[in-house]
Amino acid sequence: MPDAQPMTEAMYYVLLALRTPAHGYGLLGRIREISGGRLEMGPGTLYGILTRLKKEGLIELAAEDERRKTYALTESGRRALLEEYARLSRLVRDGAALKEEET
Amino acid sequence: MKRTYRIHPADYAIGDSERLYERMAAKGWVLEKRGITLSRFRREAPQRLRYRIELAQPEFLEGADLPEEQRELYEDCGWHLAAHCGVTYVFCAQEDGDAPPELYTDPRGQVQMLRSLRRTYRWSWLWAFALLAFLFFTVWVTNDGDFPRAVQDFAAQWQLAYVVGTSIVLLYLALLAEIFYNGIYGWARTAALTRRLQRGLPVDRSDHRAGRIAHGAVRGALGLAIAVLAVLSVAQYAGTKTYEMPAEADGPYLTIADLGHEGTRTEMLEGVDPATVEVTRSLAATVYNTHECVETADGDTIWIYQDVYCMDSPEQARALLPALMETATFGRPESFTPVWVDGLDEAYWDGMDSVAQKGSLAYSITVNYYSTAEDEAYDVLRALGAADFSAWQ
Repeated sequence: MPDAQPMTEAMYYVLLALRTPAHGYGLLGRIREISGGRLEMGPGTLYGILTRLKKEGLIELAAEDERRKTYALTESGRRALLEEYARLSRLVRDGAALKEEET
Repeated sequence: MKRTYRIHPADYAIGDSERLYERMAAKGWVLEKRGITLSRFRREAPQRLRYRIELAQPEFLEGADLPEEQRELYEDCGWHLAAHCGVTYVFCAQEDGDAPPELYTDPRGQVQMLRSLRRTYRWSWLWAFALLAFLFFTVWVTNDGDFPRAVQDFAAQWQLAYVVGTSIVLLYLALLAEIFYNGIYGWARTAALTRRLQRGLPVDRSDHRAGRIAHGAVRGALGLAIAVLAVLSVAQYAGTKTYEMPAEADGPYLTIADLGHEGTRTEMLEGVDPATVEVTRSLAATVYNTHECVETADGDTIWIYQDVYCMDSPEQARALLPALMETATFGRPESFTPVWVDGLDEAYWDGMDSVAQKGSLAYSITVNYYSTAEDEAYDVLRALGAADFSAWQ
């Protein structure tokens, strides 16, 4: 990610869902599944994110037929996803003491 | 099939447009087509529909189409394209049963959609002044690049244009005001919507009745003014009369015979009538534009051009004199000499050009001769002073 800016939640889930190549409509269902039904993304929001990720080189067009375009992670996208996962994990680890205080 | 039309809100009023279409569908009128100003609806059973507007981003030289991929994604999700015009695409979905998700679950994602609209409204009002700027540029060029002189000349021309074509000048100013108001209002509304979306709040679809009424009142007043002034302008143009100048003047203007020169009227240029009078009645004045060309017994050709402004008061006539000197055919304001002539309230002479005030009448006269001899100088102004034009004051 340029300048290591924190990723938005929506971008994170799109990259997560694209570990396996998918087209736009399929991504919406996969994101819902991965998030356990918590994240219901609108097609306009998804399209905007796909456009931005393409521009930043984190995803690329993997296949195209008459109607649909299939996207996949690039190497940069895979690295960015792992870095974000590591960052989020650190945040959770650093906050582990909270859980102990609660119990 | 029954159809009806409604004026829809402007491009920036996304929430207002969506609410209009939903309200109409609930009453049994489904959106069929969206134009620049009007939307067309066809009669169907009342239904609960959800309408959402998407704005395309125009690319330079490539038009303003919504990407096919984006449209197909929306349709896969249950939104179908109801209508589109320019950059505005209207999508529709069923409200009940298996209602699809909102197009944008994160309002911040819609900010990009407003980018081109912000740019359009930010600069749209500039076009209103483009014609003015061009006109000033032409005046600046004819004044050899002298800026202060060009400003004076430009102001004088506008002052006279207002007197001769009051309704046309006011119509232009009203159109300017309308374009400026719409541009500034559109820019402000788009900016406010952008700030709202950036805060994560969705498009406001509530009914701001007071704001709508106020905005409608301003636009209505401007629209009414434009319509009235357009009618008056057409009426003035239609009422302008041009006719052959009679042997004796039928208005407050001089003939060459009044200057003491006898001869036969002749064409100054081939195809141009020897002597004509054009009478224009504007809201501010009645204006006579005359020209006459005579060949004397000695074989000399004498011509005269006159602009006569019949104002409502002597004060108004006097106020025109600087502009008449500024726009004189040969003279410049600094080259005119004030002269005292019986029968005239004020008089200025610069060889072939004369400017004068006689009661509520203002004159700009050009002839093709002059003399500095004491008994012949200012003969145009002397003839004007001696003439009885009380019937036109």
